[in-house]
Amino acid sequence: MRLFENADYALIPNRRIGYIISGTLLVVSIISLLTKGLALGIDFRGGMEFVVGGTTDVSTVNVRSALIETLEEEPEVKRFGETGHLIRVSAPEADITMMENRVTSALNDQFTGQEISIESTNVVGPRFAEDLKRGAIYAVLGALLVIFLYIMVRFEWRYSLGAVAALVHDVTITLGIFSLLAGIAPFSVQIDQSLIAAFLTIVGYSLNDTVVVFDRVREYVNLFKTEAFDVVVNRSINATLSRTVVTSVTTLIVVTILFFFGGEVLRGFSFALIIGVIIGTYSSVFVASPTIVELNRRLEKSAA
Amino acid sequence: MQGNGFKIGLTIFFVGLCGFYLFPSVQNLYVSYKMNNMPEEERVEYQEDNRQWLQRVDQNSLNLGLDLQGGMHVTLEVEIASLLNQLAVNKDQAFRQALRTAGQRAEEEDVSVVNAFVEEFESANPDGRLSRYFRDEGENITRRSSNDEVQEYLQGQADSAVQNGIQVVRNRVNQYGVTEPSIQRQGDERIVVELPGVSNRERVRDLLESASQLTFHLMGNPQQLSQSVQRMIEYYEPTAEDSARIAEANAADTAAAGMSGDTTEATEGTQLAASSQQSAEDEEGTALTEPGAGEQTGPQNSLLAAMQPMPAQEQPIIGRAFASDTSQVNDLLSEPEVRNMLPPGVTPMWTSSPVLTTEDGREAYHLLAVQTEPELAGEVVTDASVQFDRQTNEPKVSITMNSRGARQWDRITAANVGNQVSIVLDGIVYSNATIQSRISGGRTEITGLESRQEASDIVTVLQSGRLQTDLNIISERTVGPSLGEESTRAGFISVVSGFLLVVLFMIMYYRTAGVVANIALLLNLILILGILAGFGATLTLPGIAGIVLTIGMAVDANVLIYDRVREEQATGKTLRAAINAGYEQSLSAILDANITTFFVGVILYSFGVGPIKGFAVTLMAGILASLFTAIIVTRIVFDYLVEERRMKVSYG
Repeated sequence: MRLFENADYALIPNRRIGYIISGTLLVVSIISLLTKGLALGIDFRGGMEFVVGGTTDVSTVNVRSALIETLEEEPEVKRFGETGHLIRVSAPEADITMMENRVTSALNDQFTGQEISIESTNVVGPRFAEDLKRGAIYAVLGALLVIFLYIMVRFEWRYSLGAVAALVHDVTITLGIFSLLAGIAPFSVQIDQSLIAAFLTIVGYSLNDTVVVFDRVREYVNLFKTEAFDVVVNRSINATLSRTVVTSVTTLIVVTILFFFGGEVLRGFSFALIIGVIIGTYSSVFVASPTIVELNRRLEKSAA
Repeated sequence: MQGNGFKIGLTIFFVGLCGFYLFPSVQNLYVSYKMNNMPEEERVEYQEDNRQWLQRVDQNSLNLGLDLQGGMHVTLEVEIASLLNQLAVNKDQAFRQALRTAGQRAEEEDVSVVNAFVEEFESANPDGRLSRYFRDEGENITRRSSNDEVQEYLQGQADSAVQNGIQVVRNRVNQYGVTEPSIQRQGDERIVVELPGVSNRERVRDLLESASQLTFHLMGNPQQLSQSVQRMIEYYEPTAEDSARIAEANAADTAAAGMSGDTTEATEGTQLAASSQQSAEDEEGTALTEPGAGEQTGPQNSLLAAMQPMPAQEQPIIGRAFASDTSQVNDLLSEPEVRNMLPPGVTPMWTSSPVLTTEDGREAYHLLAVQTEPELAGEVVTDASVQFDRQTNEPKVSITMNSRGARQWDRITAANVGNQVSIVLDGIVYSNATIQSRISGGRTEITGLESRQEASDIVTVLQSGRLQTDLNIISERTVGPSLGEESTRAGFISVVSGFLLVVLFMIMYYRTAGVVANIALLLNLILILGILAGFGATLTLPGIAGIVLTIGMAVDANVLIYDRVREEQATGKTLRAAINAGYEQSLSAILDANITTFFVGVILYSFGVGPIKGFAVTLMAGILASLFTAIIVTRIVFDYLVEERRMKVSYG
């Protein structure tokens, strides 16, 4: 089977279409991030999470209203797989055991006949959350810096800028989608540690794609010295298009499986990866490559 | 094929190495499958017969994270600010202000409390000297010490407070009786405790957070004790009607309780003497008897099953039990009726260190009868240190008490010469020594110690009595066993279905070459698991996600090579030339792409916490494995197929 063999699409000449798509997505994402913001998970703001079992037959709304009084705040309640519900409270300084007992006794009183049990807990103190947040920020910045430097050493600064532009594009849009889905999605889309791991994986994946295209550009620039730079780039993208698509397909297969079969714990994580793989593939063709073409054009202009 | 000898050797070496590391995991899976199918009785017998082997297999197999096997993961923080407050004398406004700001800064920034405190103090009082608050003759901190010296001293104190905290936590956890707990230091002031399969979260929290208290206690009367123990044994003697029930309930413990005769006796009398005195007497440890008799047929006495009583000694010892049985003994003795059988005012307490170790590595502890009311609180201790006897060069512990403590100590020791006194922290006996003579003046020595280690352990405990170590839970993650099972199953399904779908796709798309890529992919999985097992890494749910992701991305290197081979073939090259060119031309892209992703893994590993580290580890292992299989292993296969077998390999 062969896909995109001898592909010869006018991708770079039509890069404006890409600009329009990316621009729209970016604007929507940034607006959503600025107005609606991101829902931070308890990893980064502190709080408690309890997964209760035995509430499968009870609706989310009923669980929430059963808990409001005893917890002295409105908890976030989400369905948690087959097990029951995920209950999230901010309670920064409260005693864990006390909160746990309040949840079980309130639910037991309200829904008699159900076997209510706490299946898992996750508690993050405010100070620990502060540390995790700092760690996450360092991790993201560190990753971007190392990548920028590595590409600069291996390629040229233009390529570096192109790669990082694509990465910023990918992460911004993925974050934007998470911001838009907050409160709507049937699974947890809060930003927690595992999502930071997902974002960094997206960064790695998107880079993977970009590097493969750039590697071909590097090769073809020496091979077709007489041709214009944008023609060379377009040719490189087409030459690697088959590989780009095949790798995206295999990766999409596995992350989709993870989304459906990986369990409730990994749902947000795998969702981020699905979005990331799609956008990462798109951006290596429509963001990273056009960036180096535009940069080259500016350089040539200023040289002339 | 020339030149491939090295590559083949390398492949065999790596695969063999991974096989070696994975072998115990496979054994473990097989054994637990086999044991699950055995009837109860046979299983217990099997476990007993192969205890050592089973333990070794279990230790060497791939660790499952708590999110998969269920359990409790707690991060504790040692309150360094409160430690500084306890250490300081002459506290004034400047001190309090600096300490308060330092506490806040440590919460918001990445700085240790000690460093923040020193910085704050120095910036608020440029000429101020920290030595006016801190004084410690033992550590050579005097009025003339510079701020740097004080800072170093405080860091040392904070460090030993954390060490201390770890020791305290370890003992408390052992008391709770969890199998394979992990207690590790994290950073400057944190302790991470991992307890597999905990059911009572509340009790663990209380256990970990409760303030530690050091006290000195006298012991129960040995004569009275032997009667009490006898009555307790009688209480648990099975009666006719419940013998069947007990037999069933105790089947597991019975088999586990037979103590092996091949033991090394570690008890030795320790003595307490005034500083000047030389102690020569050496009490010999208790002789060992084969307990519970080998042939246990009928219903078993549940107390005897868990504990070997040690009556008729001149020592206040109730009995001896293996670590695995201590919590069972605690439960049995906490029956109100049984409790009342003990002499009044006496509480049973375990020793902190094992009194004997069997040949197969099981450790047994003494249960001592300690008077419930403490004679003296640990805060009277002003200093404790390890010293060596000038003549015999034996280690000893030297204790100094403040004047109030010294007065009380004088009275206690005078009234109890020849009796034993124990140092108790958190209800655990750390040292239990015979008072040799009246001790006046507050300087005491503990002699007759086994090793330097034992001496320094006692010193650590005494120090912690002087300074209270406050531990706070700052993060907790618990996963119930059913949720863990669900996650394991979900992870397994994802790995298998992801693998199968990718395999199918590769065959469809690349034909013969796809089959070769799939062989590489399978090898890849083995290598990843082997790397994890070899480095003793823990497999978590995000780790499994990392493996699934790697399955999808690992074929990338092969895809790059194959597409390049196709391109080369299209230019009219022969198959062999196309393969050569394909591998050569795609190498730079493969390396660049993978090295950058590897960097991401490294960064994730260094900043991530807990399960995320697991993801980073599998991601990195996956990259290394896929580079190796894609570049080296598939090449060997193609060279073999094309050059040796002269086959026409289809790249689809």
